[in-house]
Amino acid sequence: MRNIGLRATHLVVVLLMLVAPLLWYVDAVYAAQLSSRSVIIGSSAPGASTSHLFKFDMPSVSTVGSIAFEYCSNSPLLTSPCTAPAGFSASSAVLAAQSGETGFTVDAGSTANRIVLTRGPGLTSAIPVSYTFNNIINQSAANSTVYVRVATYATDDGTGPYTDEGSVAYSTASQVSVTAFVPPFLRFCIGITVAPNCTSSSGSYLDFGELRSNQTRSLTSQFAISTNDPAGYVASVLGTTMTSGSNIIPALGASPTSSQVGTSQFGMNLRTNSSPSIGADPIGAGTGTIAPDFAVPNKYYFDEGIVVSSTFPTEYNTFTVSYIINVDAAQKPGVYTTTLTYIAVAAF
Amino acid sequence: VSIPKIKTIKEKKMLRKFQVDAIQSLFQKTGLWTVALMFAFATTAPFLLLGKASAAAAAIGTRSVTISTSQPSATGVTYDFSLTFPTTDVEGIMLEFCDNPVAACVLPGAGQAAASDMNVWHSNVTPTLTVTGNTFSEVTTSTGDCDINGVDNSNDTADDYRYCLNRTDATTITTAAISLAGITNPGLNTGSSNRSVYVRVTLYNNNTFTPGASDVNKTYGVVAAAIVNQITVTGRVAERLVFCVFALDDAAASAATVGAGAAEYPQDCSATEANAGSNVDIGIVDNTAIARSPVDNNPPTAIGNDRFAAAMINTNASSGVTLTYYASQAGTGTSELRAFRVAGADCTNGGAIATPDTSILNQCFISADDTAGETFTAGTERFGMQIACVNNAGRQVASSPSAAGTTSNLGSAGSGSGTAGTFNAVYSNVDNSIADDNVTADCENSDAGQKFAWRDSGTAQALISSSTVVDDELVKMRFGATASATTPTGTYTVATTFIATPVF
Repeated sequence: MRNIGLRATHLVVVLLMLVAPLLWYVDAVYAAQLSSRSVIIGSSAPGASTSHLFKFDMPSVSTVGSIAFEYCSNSPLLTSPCTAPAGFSASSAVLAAQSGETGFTVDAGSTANRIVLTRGPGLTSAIPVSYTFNNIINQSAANSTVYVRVATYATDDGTGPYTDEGSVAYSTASQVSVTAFVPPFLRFCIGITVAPNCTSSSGSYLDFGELRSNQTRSLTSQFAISTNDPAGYVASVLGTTMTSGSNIIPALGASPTSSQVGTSQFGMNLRTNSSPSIGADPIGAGTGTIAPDFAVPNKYYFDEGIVVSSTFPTEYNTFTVSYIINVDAAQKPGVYTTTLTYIAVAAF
Repeated sequence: VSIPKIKTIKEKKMLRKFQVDAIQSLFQKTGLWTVALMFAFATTAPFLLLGKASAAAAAIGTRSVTISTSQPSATGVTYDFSLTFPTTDVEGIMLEFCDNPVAACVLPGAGQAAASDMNVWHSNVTPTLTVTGNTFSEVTTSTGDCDINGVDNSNDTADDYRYCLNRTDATTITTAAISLAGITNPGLNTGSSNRSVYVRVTLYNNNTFTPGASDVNKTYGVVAAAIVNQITVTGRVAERLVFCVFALDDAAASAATVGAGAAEYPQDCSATEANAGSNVDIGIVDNTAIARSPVDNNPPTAIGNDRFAAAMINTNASSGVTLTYYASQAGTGTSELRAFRVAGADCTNGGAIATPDTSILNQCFISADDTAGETFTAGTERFGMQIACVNNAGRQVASSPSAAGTTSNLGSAGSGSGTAGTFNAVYSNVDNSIADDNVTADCENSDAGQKFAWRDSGTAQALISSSTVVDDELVKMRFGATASATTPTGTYTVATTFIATPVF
């Protein structure tokens, strides 16, 4: 019996002597680089809690029981000592997704800068794989590079000789902030005609010609207005009715009134009218509204005060103001004029 | 005659006594001088024999061998011999490849488990002889001293150490250059760094390799070569990514100076300019124009700065790199947190400001479409970003110091027409000419018709990529905005996260 045991021992020793170099050879021959490898980070902001998605191709059919992801600030080389990136932490990392070679969980032996995925050792295929980790805290320095050394192991705890390896790199980056200031603005233009967005306007003089008791004289002017004031705007008209020295043409100031041929009257509104046929309703995407006294078609009114307003910030509206003048037969002769001033106010 | 077996100690003692007695008897019968003569002959015979051969065969004159490689176990090795003949009649040349110069010849490497044998078998060797006016032929059948049957005496294996050449005429020759190709070098023993190969060259004045009496037909010499370990040099280029994002001062890298060869563009991420700031201020935004960065500060203005956003990439990732970005989420406010917005604003439709429910009424800009890009119209509220250009080795031709790197792989024009470069077209400035209106190599491109886009979903979107390495290429980006008539007043801001993803 003793001889049998001795012979068995000798046999084992001999076999070990024969096999050991082969094992080293196998390791040396089959260690390969993980190809097409990358890490896609969810955020490059320093110190951000983010995701890291690793992608690579398994280069060979080999036994893999664990995959280690080691974060180093100094070198991507697996054989070099690793310096953990300042501020980096994978202590709370969770494996959120995996594809290709699957069945992994985060090994309890993982550290703050080395995540080890573990499973029961099994043969891999030469296929693309991906692993997504959440809750990784980026390094604290901006514009700093971190190398992640990825290696596969036959063991299930990331120990022993690695099988295949490869490194990837990512960098934090300063975030570019963009700033601008939007000033308060009230766009308001007036003229005989104006562009809807106030890019142009023309004219400021209306000539009604000869006033007659048997005919209504009418003309129009325009103004456009917009504002980004949260409370909107108020546009008013200032001025008097038409006068010629001490002679006047009475304004329709009591209430909106129809045009009466042969009756001295001066009024205006901001609507489309048929009697006389003049004017236009407001146009544009704005929310401006016409004051009630000026908002009745075919009825005219004149008094100083608000003509349009908006309680909101508003896009442009173009308003057409229609003026009508009637005179009776007793209207004193003369050149009747008036100057009307439109004022728009926003509160801001 | 039968010899009885010796079984006991007594019998062994008797035998030893018998041997001593026999020697004593021999001395007595033949005399001391006879025995002494026998010992003397036995000990000197090898030297006398060897000395006889050496004395009879003349030595070859200047001789050398040059091998095409000293790599152990290398195949297809050429051994070039250069020989000067002491005799003019040479009809046979025998080469013996041995692991020693004089003792019994053993093929180098033969019988050593850890080393592979040398192989000079004639079927593997291709000879080339440069002997003026003469042609030697390879000997393929053993003849005379030229026994090429090998250790196993079969002439069908590679275990032979002899290689012979002969000819049928006796034209005078004095030198020869013999080239033998197709030889396999011996391997090395484990732990050994070298091995010598001795080639014994014997010339015959006949083509049957007959030595003649006292080797009168032979001329002899030895050359040597060394098989040595090769020095293997290994190194690994580590994966590299250097990536930085900053606000590039356009005043420093202005048209006036860049064209003249100034070095204002940062050469790499360590440059001062690459670390000088990270804020781009596009100044006043209203509904009458399109505000774009950089804001010309000549003369300086109180609002806005003269900066592009810039990202510089350096990576040796052979599969390229992709630059992506997304808008960072604001820390305060409600809704549209990745829009160009006023800090803390409620941009919820129906919220505090957004009444009525129109997004142009809240304090968040409408983001330019990031699927098709948009060409801005003044007064139509939008905010976005575009790639102004890429500054790389193909750019800044006016001077060497202002070109950052050595590659042009991220593209070199706004339309993405660079070598293997791919712009995301929605960020393209739709202008193949990267020159500014009046200045070449300015990389500003303030031409009209530019597209903007803005990714406010929180998922990174690719801006530009390469399919190979990138050496300090600088991507310049411009922000643009225009307000609508109702865009509320305020200071708007957004942070941008850029990510470089190399694929190694």
